[in-house]
Amino acid sequence: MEVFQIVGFGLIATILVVILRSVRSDFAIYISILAGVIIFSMIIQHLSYIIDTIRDLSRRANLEITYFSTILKIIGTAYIVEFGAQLSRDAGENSIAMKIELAGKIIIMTLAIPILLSLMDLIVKIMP
Amino acid sequence: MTLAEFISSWVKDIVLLFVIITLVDLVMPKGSMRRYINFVVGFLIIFTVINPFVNLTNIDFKLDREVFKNSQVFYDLDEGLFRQQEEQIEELYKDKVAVEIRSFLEDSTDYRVAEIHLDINRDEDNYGSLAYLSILIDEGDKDAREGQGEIKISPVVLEEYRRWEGSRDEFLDLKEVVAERYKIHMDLIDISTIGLED
Repeated sequence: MEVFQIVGFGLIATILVVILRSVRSDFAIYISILAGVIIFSMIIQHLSYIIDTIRDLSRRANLEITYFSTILKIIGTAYIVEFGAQLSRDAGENSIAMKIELAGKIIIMTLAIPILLSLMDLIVKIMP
Repeated sequence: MTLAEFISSWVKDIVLLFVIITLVDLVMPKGSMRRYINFVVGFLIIFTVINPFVNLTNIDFKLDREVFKNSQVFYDLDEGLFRQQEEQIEELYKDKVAVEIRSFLEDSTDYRVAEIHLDINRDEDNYGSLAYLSILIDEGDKDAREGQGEIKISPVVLEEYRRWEGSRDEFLDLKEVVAERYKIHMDLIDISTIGLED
């Protein structure tokens, strides 16, 4: 079962980080980053299956592909931002974590604003 | 489309949308970003609910086109990429217009088009309209087609291709047809031929 591999790998990484933190705290953060990347690469195949399913459903629901791709981009951005911010928090750099989150929020807003404007245009057009 | 079909497709879209939203909600990371994703998903719900009524009112609205137009302001910052994209679109557009002109001429006249060169206007009001059109007609091929079915005995001559200088009067009517169809001034059309020397 793949879940045992992932959980087992996560637990080993956690134990390593805990041990290293008392000996060489600067190495602990590297282990943490590496563990995050490896776990992500282990689940990426499953993630692509979920995304394909959502894409297929959106096609059936006659959803605009622009909208769907924007939502995917936003989810991806949110994940990367959360990942980076949590790593920064783990390293004790709360202020950097907040700045990463701020950057993520601004990028998400940049992606959302064209849709918001288009929707506003549409609402204005259909108003009698 | 009957009213029942309209409502059933609308309800189906909404139900599928909520299934998608539930899936997206499960995939979403928990944290401060969640609110922002919900914000965009909210737009999607509004759009899906009002979209069938937009189609009913015959309003020319395409979400991707509008989003592209609105996001251009942002992408304008990246001049290089934007310029490259614009050039590619322009080349594609020119190719399509050339193919259209070629098929129009070959379908409605006896001439066979050898080459088409064209340029488009880039000013804001007339963007995309033809600024210059040069058509090279292959008369040799026309003669060959006209001669089909006949047995011609002609002396063996050294065939020499030549290109006519400027436009000939016989192409005036052709110019008129092209000018009318593509809304271009006749002076901006150049029709020349490539054919067999008499």
